[in-house]
Amino acid sequence: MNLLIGIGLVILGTLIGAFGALYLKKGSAEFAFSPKKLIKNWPLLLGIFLYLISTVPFILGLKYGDLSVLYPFVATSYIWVTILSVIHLKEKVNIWKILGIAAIILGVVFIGFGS
Amino acid sequence: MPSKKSKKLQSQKTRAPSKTALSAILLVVFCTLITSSAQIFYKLGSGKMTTTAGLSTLLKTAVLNPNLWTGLILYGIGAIILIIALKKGELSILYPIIALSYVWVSLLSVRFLGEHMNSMKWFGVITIIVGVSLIGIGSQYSSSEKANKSPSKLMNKTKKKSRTHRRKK
Repeated sequence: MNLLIGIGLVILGTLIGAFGALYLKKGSAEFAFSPKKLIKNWPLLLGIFLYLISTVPFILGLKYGDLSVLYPFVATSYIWVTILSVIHLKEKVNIWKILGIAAIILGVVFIGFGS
Repeated sequence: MPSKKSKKLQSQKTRAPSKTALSAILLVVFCTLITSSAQIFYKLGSGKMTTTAGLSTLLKTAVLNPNLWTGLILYGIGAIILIIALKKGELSILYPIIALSYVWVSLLSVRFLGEHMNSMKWFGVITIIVGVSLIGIGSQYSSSEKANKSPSKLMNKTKKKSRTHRRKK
């Protein structure tokens, strides 16, 4: 049961982080080193905010389970970001991206096992 | 095929927003190196924090902690680099490249924290590098299709003028 809470929290963290990445991307188009522009750039600010708070469920979640068990769920963030990129940014998925993400997830899983 | 110009991070304006510039990919790679160093500094700093002697001691050891501050500043720099990179590339290409930080953290932890690698970790590190490479290849593949449509844009920018008009006395 504790492990399920841990997994749930980690997945929540990855989802928040994925939306954070999406809004960082949306806001990056208007990014400039001027305080005036930064304050008006709400997608960027939202992205930074989401990125920062996504760490909270991670840290809480890691208390409920071993790193080796939870790391595979950390790696789901790559899946969420890819889905969000396709839906919200109209980006295209090709075989290279899918294979690449699969390999990255596998790599993260192995590093988790090794830790 | 990195031209000298793309290395200098110029000429982004000629690129369509749907393509991923090689400079953006290199920026994200650089960003992961910075944020991974930040994590090493965090780890070094957290070891010097006193968590058992009350909140004021904890805060004091945190505020007067150069490693923690270095980590924080590096993290901020990394975030700015990431945002600049995202400007010039697809999220579905650039985000997975952040996974390289697993590689850097693993290697830096051996060098600076005295941690040990094992075969599982090595396998993970290599697999991540393969994965990021595949995505990098994929990005060049998809962008080269579109680039063929307007290769003249970059050609027009060559500076023939300066030489011919130079001898105007």
